[in-house]
Amino acid sequence: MTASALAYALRWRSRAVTPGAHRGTLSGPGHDFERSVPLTGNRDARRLDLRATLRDPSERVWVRLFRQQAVVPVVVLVDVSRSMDYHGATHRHALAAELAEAIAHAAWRIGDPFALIACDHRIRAELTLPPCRSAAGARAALARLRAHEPDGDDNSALLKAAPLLPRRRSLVFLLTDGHMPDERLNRVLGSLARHDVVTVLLGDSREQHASSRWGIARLRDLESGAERLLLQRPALARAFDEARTARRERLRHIALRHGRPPLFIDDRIDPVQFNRYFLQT
Amino acid sequence: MMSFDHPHWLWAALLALLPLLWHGQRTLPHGWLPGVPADPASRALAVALRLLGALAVLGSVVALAGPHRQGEDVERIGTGAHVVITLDRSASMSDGFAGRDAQQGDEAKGRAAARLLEDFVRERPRDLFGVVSFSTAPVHGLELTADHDAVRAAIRASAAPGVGLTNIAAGLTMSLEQFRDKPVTGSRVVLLVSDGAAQIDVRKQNQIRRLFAENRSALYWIFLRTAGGRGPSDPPDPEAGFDPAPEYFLNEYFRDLGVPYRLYEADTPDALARAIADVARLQNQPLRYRETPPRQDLGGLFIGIAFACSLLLLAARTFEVPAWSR
Repeated sequence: MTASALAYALRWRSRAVTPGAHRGTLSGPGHDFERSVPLTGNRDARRLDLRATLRDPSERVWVRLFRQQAVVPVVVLVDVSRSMDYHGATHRHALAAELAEAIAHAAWRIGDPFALIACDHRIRAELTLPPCRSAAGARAALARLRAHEPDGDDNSALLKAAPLLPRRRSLVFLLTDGHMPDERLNRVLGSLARHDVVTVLLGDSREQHASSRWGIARLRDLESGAERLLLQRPALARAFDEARTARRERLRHIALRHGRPPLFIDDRIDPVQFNRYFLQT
Repeated sequence: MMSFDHPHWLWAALLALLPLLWHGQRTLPHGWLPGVPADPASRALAVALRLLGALAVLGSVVALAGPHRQGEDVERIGTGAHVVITLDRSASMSDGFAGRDAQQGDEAKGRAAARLLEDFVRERPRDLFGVVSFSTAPVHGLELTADHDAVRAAIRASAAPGVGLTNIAAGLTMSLEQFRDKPVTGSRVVLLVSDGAAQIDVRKQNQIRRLFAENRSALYWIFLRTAGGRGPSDPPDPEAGFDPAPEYFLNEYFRDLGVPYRLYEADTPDALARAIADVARLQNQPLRYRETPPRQDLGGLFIGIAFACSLLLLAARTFEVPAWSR
């Protein structure tokens, strides 16, 4: 259901030659009016601009020129470090895979090439899919992603992903849990500056909340293996909520500096929220 | 200071490091610990739980080693004195202080001493008294007791006319036996009241010296001097031929005992009263003494500590949550 409900729209013009569903920069068949030009040479007379022709004192014939629509490559850059393996309200890696599949569907529907790059502490070449419009290839890559068990120590390879992306400006979905130092996220977004990057932060309501009932819990970090004992109590629950709010505000600040606010997806994919995001930004 | 019956068990104390290295708690996976807010209370709890574990092991190990505290001497300050009144009941005690020049109506030495000692007892309500009287053989008058009516009665009874000789050694021995196996909670005094002396043979001398040392008792000798008679402070006169001067030598022997000793010579009832008042004043001073407390077994204490720590750990165990944030 979510797989077919997502859609994205862009406010910038694609410079791609291949016709597609987004506004492009090349002249050609389409309905995106660019300008009117005198009908000289080989211009197509079908798109006669009557108003401009009549207004012309030298009585030349004018035709309208349109821009053709173009494709925009869609790249899903997915974090597959071990922290993505968190089982809370949902399995975060499964959620990421589901979202990647939904984005792939959205791309097929309007004919955009879809690419997939998975990173933990290194680029996961076996999960990588170069930009392609083949549904079969994408489906296979998504199946591999779903079957993958995250085992990377961190997501530092996100920094090395930029050269693998198409040279042309693309729409990049960065699917991550945001569990990295602010500095790294800042640099990752900086390395992807030529693209339109949508930072999708996959949160988990169980992970970022603490129960207000009294208890003792020893947490183990999935990535570093570090442990911390916590005395669960109402004050700690409040501290967790405050920390979560502060962290989201910081992530929002970093992402906004690089062009777009982050898209927070907690526990499940809400198509309405996803689609509204592209209308509002 | 603590000592151990089985000190080799203490090597097992190294096991107390285990709880510091391993916590044995259930761990719950979490995505990113740096994002978890810092919490001093939780940090303190983590440290406390590890210390409790170490303490539980340590307590058990120390308890296994059989800890005990062997009496370190403690300084005590005693208040109530233990006084054994040792009264001479020889025949001469029935005479007055004037000796041969006695007139009708003079108070006998024994009676004067008894009267003044009764006052002495009355003024010292916190003390324990024992009464021994002696002549040729010692008479066990009264065990050390706080029943002062009985003490005064015993003193009055010893004032009855006496018989026989002055056998000081037997009287002192019996008096010192009174202190045997009694706790030292105050100063101990043997108050010897006599009007003569006798030679003590070497064996008895050693025995008495040992008893004084064992019982740590002071000695006050009130010598009731008959007018014209010899006293302990008169050295023997070599000119006078054979002169045993037993009072002088007994005094020398007492001075050599190594315990607090004082001699009072009283030749009138007034002088006797002054002497007894002086003894009372001396004995009013608090006594400082060192006491060796009995061995104290500390195993139960350490087992208790280990048990309490284990209980707390068990409580913490039951508080562990099975899953995060559920």
